[in-house]
Amino acid sequence: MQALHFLQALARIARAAPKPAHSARTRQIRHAAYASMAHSSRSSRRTWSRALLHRLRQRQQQRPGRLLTVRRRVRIVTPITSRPEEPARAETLRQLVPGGRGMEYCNLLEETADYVQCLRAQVQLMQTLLDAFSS
Amino acid sequence: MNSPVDPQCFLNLNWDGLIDPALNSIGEISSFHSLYTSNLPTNGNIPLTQALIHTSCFDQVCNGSGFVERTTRFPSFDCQNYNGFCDNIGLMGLPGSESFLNLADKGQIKPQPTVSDNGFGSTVSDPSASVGTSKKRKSAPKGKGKDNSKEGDEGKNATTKRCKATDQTHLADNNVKPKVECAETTKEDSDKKSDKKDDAKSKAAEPPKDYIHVRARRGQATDSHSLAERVRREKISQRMKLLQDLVPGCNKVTGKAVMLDEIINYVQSLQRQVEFLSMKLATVNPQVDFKAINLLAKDVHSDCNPMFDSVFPLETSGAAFSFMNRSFGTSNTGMGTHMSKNHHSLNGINDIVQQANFWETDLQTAVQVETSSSQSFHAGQMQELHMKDEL
Repeated sequence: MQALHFLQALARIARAAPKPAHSARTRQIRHAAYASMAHSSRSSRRTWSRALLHRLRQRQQQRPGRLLTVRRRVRIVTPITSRPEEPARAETLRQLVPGGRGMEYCNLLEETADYVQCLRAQVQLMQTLLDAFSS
Repeated sequence: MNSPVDPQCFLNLNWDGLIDPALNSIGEISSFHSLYTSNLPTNGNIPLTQALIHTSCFDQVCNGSGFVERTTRFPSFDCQNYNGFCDNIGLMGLPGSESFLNLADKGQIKPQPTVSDNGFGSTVSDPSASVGTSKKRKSAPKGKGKDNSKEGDEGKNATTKRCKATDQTHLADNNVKPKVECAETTKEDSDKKSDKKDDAKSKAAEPPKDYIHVRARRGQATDSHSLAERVRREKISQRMKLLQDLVPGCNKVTGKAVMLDEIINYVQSLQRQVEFLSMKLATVNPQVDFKAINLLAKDVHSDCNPMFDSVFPLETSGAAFSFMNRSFGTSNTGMGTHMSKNHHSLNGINDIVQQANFWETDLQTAVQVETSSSQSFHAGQMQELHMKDEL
């Protein structure tokens, strides 16, 4: 399902006109990659997928021209993130994994595992697509 | 659709129903697995090695994702239903029943070898007998069904504190805090047996209880807080082991701090790879035939492949595409009609693919199979595969 979604998104991007801006296209493809990761049915129940989709939608809404009025919704993170038992690098991990800020350490590790799996699959998918396209 | 006489189609229809719930319980996964393995040999053209690859990957997936799924569903370490079970038999106070939950999470956590004492009855009746192990003894008259008790601060040092026959427990809130039962241990095999029984029964009836039942291990503090801490630490170590399997090169590393660094590096590198690959795709993309992409997407969609979710590649390069191939090799619904449509357009591509030495060996064997039997249904599948490979 991840592959399907990504291919559909790629088709849409390819169809949606020869936008010459390379960076715009890159952005779109990256967006599609993360969206397809979040939409894979194995991970649709996960916290990180919901957070990722939310972040993507936020970025999409911010994009059309609202250069001046970027509203930052400040999320007040409860001190759950600074538990003494956690190693020091847990904060970094929370920043990496989408939606990691509100989670406990235990759940964070679980989400990380799933996220890593999906990321790896996505990377492999894109790699093979690239090879197929360029061969 | 085609005539549903084809047994493979029939089996696949069963699979579609099975897949999503299968991801939720190990039991169903194993049944699905058996279905899966039984189906593959019937599809005679697939080489057996390929079938084996499928199942092995699926096993890995099962162990990985299934475990994670299960741990999310049973946050209380699969001991949610323990209380219901105990309610049913009302064996709370009796010796044989106290054996249950060594956090035996279907073997994920090895049940600690419990002390095989002489038995509950003897020690209770004979308080002077050396308990030795420093476990708190559960008072016998506590025959209640509900487990609302929590051991107090007794037995902090886990040395020889003996509790009298009087009930010394007190109530505690049972929302999130793990329930602690310091129970006298019985024989080890009876523990395991009732564990299995408990698990089996708990799967059937699922009362929505939310606490964890932990047994205090021998020689360790029986304080409720420390037990909770231990549960949490075990959870964390479990998850770290899972992550260790996922992240390559983590096997030699020991210690949580270094591993955490490795994990962070890995996640960062994967994200960077996604960026890089999307950039490259952006350059390559305008040159690609749009129709090919659409066709591929449509075919991928029409094959109704819920298998994608379950057969997930955990191995190295090229696996993503080969997993697509595998699922196409096994899922047969709707392929026939689609094949006839696309058949004529794919022949040219096939030649190119046959010349390309790019793919893995199983795919290459599939190509040979395809060339040998051109008009068969399965060959049509392989052509579909090649079309996708080309793209």
